[in-house]
Amino acid sequence: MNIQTPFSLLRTGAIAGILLIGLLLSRSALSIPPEAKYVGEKRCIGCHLIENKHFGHTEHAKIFRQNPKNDIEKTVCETCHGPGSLHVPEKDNKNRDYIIGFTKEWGTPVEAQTEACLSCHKGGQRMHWPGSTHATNKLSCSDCHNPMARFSATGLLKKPSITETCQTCHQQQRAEFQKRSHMPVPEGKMTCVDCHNPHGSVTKPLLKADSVNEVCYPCHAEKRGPFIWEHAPVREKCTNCHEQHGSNHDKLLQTARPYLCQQCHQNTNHPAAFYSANQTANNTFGAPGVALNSRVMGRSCQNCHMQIHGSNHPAGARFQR
Amino acid sequence: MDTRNQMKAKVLAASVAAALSQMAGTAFADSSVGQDTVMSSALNRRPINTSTAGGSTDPEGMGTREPAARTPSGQMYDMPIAETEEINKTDGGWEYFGHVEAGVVGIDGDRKRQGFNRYKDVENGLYLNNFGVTMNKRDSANFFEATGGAVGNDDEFYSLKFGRYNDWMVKGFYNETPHVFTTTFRSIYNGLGSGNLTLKPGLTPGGTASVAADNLAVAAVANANSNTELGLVRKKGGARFDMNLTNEWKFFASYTNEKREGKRPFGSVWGGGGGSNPVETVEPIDYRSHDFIAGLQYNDDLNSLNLQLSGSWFRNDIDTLTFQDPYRQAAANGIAAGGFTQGRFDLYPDNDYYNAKGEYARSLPDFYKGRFTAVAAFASSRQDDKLIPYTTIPGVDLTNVAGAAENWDNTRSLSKRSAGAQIDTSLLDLGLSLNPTDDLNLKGKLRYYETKNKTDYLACNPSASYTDNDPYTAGAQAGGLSAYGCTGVWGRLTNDGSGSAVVTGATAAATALLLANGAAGNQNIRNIPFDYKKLNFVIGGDYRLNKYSSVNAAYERENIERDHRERDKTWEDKLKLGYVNRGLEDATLRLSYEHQDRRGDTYHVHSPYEEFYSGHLIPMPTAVVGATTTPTLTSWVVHMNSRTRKYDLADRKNDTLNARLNYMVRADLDMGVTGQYKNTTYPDSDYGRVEKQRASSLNFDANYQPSAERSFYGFYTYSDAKMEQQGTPSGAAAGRNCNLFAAGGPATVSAAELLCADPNSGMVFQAANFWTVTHRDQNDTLGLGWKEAFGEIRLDMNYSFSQGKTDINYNLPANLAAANRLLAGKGMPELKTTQHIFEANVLVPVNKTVSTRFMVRHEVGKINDWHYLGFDTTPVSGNPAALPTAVILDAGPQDYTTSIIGVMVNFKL
Repeated sequence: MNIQTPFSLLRTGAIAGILLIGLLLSRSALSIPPEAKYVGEKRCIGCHLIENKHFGHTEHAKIFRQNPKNDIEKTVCETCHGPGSLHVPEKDNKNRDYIIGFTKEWGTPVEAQTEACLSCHKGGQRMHWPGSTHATNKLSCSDCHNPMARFSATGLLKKPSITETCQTCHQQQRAEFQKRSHMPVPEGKMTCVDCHNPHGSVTKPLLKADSVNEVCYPCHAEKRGPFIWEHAPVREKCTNCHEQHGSNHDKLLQTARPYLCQQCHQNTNHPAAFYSANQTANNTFGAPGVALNSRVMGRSCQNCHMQIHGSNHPAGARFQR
Repeated sequence: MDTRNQMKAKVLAASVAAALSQMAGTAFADSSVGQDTVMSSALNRRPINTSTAGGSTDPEGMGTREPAARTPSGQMYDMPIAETEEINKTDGGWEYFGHVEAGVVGIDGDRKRQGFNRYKDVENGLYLNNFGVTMNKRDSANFFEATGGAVGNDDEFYSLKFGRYNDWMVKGFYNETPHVFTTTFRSIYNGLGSGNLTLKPGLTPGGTASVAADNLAVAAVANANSNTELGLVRKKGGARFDMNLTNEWKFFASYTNEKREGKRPFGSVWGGGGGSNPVETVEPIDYRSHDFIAGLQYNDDLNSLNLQLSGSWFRNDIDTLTFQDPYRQAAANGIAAGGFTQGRFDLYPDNDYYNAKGEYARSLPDFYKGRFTAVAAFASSRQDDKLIPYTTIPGVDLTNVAGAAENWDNTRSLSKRSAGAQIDTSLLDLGLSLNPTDDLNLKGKLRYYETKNKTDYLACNPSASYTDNDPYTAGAQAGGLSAYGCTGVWGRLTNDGSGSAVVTGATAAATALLLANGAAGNQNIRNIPFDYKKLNFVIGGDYRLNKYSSVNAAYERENIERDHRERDKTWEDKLKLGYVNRGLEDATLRLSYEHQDRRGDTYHVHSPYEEFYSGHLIPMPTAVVGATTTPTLTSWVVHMNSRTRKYDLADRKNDTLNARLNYMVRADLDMGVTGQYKNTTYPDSDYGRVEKQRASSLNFDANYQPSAERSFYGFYTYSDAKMEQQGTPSGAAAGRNCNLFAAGGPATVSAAELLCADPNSGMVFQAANFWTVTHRDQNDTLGLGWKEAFGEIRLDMNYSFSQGKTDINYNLPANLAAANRLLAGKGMPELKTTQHIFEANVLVPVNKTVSTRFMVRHEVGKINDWHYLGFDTTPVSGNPAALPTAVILDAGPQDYTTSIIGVMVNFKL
């Protein structure tokens, strides 16, 4: 591939500048003092009875108590919160440097919170967490998860469902799912995580597959083809024509047909023709100014070009068979 | 929707799926692999949580935090539901608890309307809403959990998992999802859902001698069969197995099997390229997909590795759709009027997909605390379905093509018998992240993604030959015209022989006509194997300003090379800046701004397609024919208006601003505001998407939790999007044309390539007749909720309102007739959808193990869609005495008002 490089100097300069600034402004990371020791969950429960009541129903509690992998997991609470010996004395139990907290009020740096979680959960589906959109925006694991009670059936989420959890921040998407045509998210048949990996991925919008189309095909496998006769924007990206969450238009289309199709098809004859209100079936044939046209009726362009995602028919070059 | 399945059969199917799961496997929640991340339904929109089912909010909350702690971003956590205390124990040491919620549901109103039941299935009568059982054996760390809901309905679901904590787990599921497309279809066919649609009595295949009578008959039969529901049900089951092989290695494997059955509105059309007499048909859905994924994961202090293999096999159990035609098509290609009695579609072909993927990450603690990642993936999509002939009608005989050998109704007319289609993809993604200081993170990334389309199909009939003698087609070659390794007749018979796009050539006497008319248009002679290569490289940095705030910046370059598109290359620069502050006294603020600038090389409207059209076979005329005939060059040099820029390739500038503020108003109240503003321009586009495209949204939400017994929430979202487009119809200006050497035409062939497609020349299009369309989408969404505990009784009420409006306004082209201009007005009627949903639940505990839930749900939906205006009275639109403009059997979406009441009893085991 022939790589265009008009910004090469800018890129080089930016790297050098950021490196220099960083080296000049170095700071030390925050962590629990190294003299802290593990004290075991009995000491914790001594004060945190109610927390323990709820925590006992969680998967973490059962894992740590019933089949711990190592000595740290045996401590249960301190597996996540860190060694608690400095936190135990009453005079010090408000000192926020002595225990890892996962709440806004406690104020443990997000990086320290995340590090605590990733000490067990790194790799796997979280391989791409570092540098992901969520990580860059300084989200902590506990912005979405609350392992202190069984709020959700699975996943130790902060809300009862994945969708509700995501929509606490993604309100725009919540509204999009309420539109005329939408993925069956409000009806409980899909969640955001069917398409996205909130823990990071190799794509910018945290998609679970390597491209937009490869995200769509598992549910729409018939459109995977390949076909003899392909439609270029369909093959490249489903979102060239469709909204991913919801739309005011049929089939999650970006806008109404035939106008959507005409945003690319300005060919001779009917593709470039002007379509208007006097062409709907609501008008009476033969009345002055009426020009009934099948391209504004029903499924519009797809009344004729119904195989718009591709055709395997030898006569299907225009997606009519 | 399809026939309702017997409850027993479904339960049996679920049991089978569960049993299968014991042989295959899975378990640990994994948001990176596969779908099926939720088991729920419209009346159980949250997955079944056995621990808290039927429970009330715990008045003690989470203990030390009153009333509730907040997430690191400042949003209040929910108050927890008190988990069940009714835990039983077997002699063998298993602890278990469970529940069943069942009762009676009554539903009234327009429950069969698509707006209501699109993705849900609720019927009158007994209703097993949900159930669950959880078991745990502490000494061995074994567990078992099963849940289910909406039993016996088309949105039922079941899940099962068992295993040993921190060791292995098996998961199984069975889930049904209905998808209703329309409930107002007026069928004129028998055999809906099959591959053979025959006309209902009263209609004649191939039509009668009276089109007027056919129109009346179609309308009568359609209206006698109204309110037919077309939809499908997805039935999916699967299993997954996860196991920790060692402390470092994990293994997982999963298999899913999905059956989709049903039908959906489809089309049909006859005649030539533009199409005539569209009549809606019904496509059968009988799909099955098998998906298999297996992977290994490794982690140690420094390294992480994911290896994954996956395969997907799609099978369509109905290969073709044959449908009878209720109208009389004109005689064509040797077939008399009335001879086109039926047509045939080739439906979605079976396909296979394979993917191998490896991901590796290594921490570099001694190199600026760095981290290196590498991902490589290779995939292949393949399809080799048997191809079907052009038509089922025997005897098609094209002019100037040897009739006896044409064989358009069998596969000898094809250049190959099966598709042999294949697209391979590959991905390489390399990343390096460095932390030169504790506060600074730098990252770089290189990503390469490529698709290779290996499909090769020639629209060449090797068993046919030309009978003419002109030099531009077969000439005297008895075997036909040779190209790309095939000798025969080129082009394709369209719409079952009622039209054609075949390079038919001309008799010697008509050679001049061929030149004048451009061989009846440029015709596809081979498939276009679209594919592309995409290279992204990113550099960025994230700098921590202090304990709570940071700034980040990233620059990305995206280069795409496409084969056979109007642009060979596009490149886009993306600059993103972000700011995060979690330390504002009572708030968290996140801001980001992104600027994108896409450009590309020369935009060619016509040339990328030359080798795939008949212009490649028939040389463009370069001289006047005879003494006076000036040949038109339109077919050779005009693909479309040359000032059009397809929006996926066009020069584009985009600015996006995102802001998000979470504000803790009081200890028991927090509010959030988010907004997005997007502005996109297409600076080089005169036609297509033009000018500016704007989209903005503003969201407010509030959450008030004064106590464990009381909470409120509310949200409101407003969004507004605007988009403009411009076009101009074809039609030369007075005195202009694309005829070589003609007055008002191009003087040379090279001039024709530049001028004919340019609307400013007026030779084929004329700029003066431009039209513009402005789209404006506006949406309002409101949600309110109230939870209150009145002693032991718990109330949970929710209301949502959504309204979407789309105004499509236009400026009329100058050449629109006066009468049409008057009736066209300034725009299309407003597209509008409104929905109200109110739901209330009252939970009344009876004793420790029994509670009663009273449920009310009321939905109101209204919709106006101009696409379906007029079709509520008759499906036939057009001249009553001629072939109709369109027959749209779907009367379109309808308003609805539906109420559900229910009384459910929750029993704890």
